[in-house]
Amino acid sequence: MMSQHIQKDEKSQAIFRKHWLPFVGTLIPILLAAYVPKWLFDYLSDQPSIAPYMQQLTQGTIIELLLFIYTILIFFLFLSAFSVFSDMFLDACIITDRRIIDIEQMGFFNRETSIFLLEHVQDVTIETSGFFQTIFGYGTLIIQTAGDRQFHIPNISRPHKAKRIIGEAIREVRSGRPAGSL
Amino acid sequence: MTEIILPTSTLSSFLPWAVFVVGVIWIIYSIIITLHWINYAYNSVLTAISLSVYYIGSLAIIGYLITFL
Repeated sequence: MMSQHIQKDEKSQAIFRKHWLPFVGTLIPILLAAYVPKWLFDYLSDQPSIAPYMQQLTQGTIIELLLFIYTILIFFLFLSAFSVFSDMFLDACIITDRRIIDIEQMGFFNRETSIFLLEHVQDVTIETSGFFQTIFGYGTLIIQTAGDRQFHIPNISRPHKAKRIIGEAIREVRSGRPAGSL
Repeated sequence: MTEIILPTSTLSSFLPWAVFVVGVIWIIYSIIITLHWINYAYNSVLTAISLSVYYIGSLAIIGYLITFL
């Protein structure tokens, strides 16, 4: 769990996760894909020219086969919805008293963990763009480190709070506390 | 009007294979997803809830698929 990223003498200040709204946004096409075949079937059944054929489909083994294929579709849509949820939920940005740890799950087999020492952080920027990000309070956290490296943490919840906590942690590190090491 | 007739023998041999393939995919997916959640999640209660929802949901769908056999 989280302890695998934090050293023994290190103290976690805050954990920030991805906001739930982009997840809901990706759920919409999945729900549509589940609903469209049923809607199409009902729509075609209402068309007078096709209705007799559709009526035939609802009898015997054909309807069973169609239902079977539809259930398999629902099964795979369920798996993809859960994958998207896992992808969102297993991402995290951990701020400790020494470092910022950004964990990004990308699909099933790719996981990226970036670690920045607080003393190397030169600039923290928040980007909230668009209606939803402004209303629901999430955005992209951009961390600029020494050596002109820039890290983007998209769709993070409460980015202003994250920026404030990072700022306080940097101030503490620079005010003479011993710097940590990787 | 042409009557649509589906060969029953083809259908009865297709369904078990389809369920078998779905079952194999489900087992592989479940192993990967469970390991991911156990290794990388940050809250054990949410891990338990999420995995329960996943297993109940997916098993319900597989259970329904089996009724076609």
